[in-house]
Amino acid sequence: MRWICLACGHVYDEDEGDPDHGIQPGTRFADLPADWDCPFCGSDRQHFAEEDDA
Amino acid sequence: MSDAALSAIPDHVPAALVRDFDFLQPVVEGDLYDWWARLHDGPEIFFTPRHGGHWVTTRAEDIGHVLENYEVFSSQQMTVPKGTHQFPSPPIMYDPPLHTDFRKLLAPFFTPKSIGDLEVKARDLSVQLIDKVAAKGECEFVSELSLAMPIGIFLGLVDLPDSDRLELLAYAEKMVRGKTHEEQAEGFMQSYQYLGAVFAQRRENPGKDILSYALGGTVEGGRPLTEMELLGMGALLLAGGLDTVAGMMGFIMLHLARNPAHQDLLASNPDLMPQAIEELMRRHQIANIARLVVKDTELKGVAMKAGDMVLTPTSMAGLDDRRYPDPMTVDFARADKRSLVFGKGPHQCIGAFLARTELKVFFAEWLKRVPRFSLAPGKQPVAVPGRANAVSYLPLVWEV
Repeated sequence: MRWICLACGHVYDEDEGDPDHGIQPGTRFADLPADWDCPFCGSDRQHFAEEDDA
Repeated sequence: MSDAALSAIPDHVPAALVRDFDFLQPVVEGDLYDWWARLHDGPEIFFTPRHGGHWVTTRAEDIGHVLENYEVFSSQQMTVPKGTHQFPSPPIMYDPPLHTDFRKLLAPFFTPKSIGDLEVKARDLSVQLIDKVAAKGECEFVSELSLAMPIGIFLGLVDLPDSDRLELLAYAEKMVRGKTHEEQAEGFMQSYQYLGAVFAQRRENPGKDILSYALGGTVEGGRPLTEMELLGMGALLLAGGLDTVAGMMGFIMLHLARNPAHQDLLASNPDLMPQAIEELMRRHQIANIARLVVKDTELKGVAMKAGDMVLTPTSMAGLDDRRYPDPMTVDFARADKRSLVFGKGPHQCIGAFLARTELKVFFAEWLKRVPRFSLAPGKQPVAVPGRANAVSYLPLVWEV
């Protein structure tokens, strides 16, 4: 599943994770650590939505 | 009494933390961001007797902390002095959970998918504005371009005619830049009057615009918005969407005019634009809003009392050398450009994606159409601080 940052458009793809910030491929969005922010703009998780809905 | 007159220092404020600082002063000597950065030489958190008396946080960490922690630092009052807004402007002057209801109401208009249509409009408008000046070889960027661009987008969002542009710009200017409480309040009242008439029309003939949608929307488990909430929200969209984008366009253009190598780099590598805009925004953050302390608290050992106001100048967050190495240098390749330019936490700017889109589209089109440009010789650009920093005069020249 893919999640899009509503502030900058960065996409978090669960299949890819965010290895640059220690997030393994396959990590579900719901399982990201509480302090994970958008790696491009710094928005926190509440500003992401499922890509198909946004 | 002028809002900038000195207020008494409350008993709980230590004398060592008092510094006379007026963030609304009309003129700043030298570079505006150097002026902000010089505050880093003093206490990290200080109290100024200006504008009713308020705290100022100067470091990115503390600015982010105050913006995120709404249970202590409320948005019920978000500018100094207190009481500037006659009506609250939802959602930014509400705290969660009510804030969340309003945010959900507006959100569908600001998703990347919704902004797709506005991107087309932003590109058309950019081209139209740039083509008007390209052949002249000169322009005054603020009056001819940066003020015209965001209002054009706003008018599309709310489906209002272009003929109302100058009237609305004047209201937004007073709301955001009013030098006194009275002038700012007048800007809000004029906006409310204008919007009241628009809402009355939309009740009769609803459209697909954001104002019509707000009229049909509900909050708090099903109640419609009150007239005051509608007016406050409309005024917020006006003030928030115009002055801020115009200001950022001015600072980015001022940087490019002084740095031809960056013009050349972006003109020949348009794919760099998103990260360049992000870095330029990091370096030139503009919002200087405030929060109301609603519970006695301590920040970095500084005691704050309920009722105190705290200014959170994001202008300074991007200049913090503890957060960014070599912060004054604009480096498009900077590894971490994340910033507080759109705030942080539940109140993060809902228009962030739209603003980024406007900036990326405008500067891409500008660099395609205007050759290398510079500041007009013998003329000085003017940048001013405020609730949002702004460039108020920016004369540019290029060869035709």
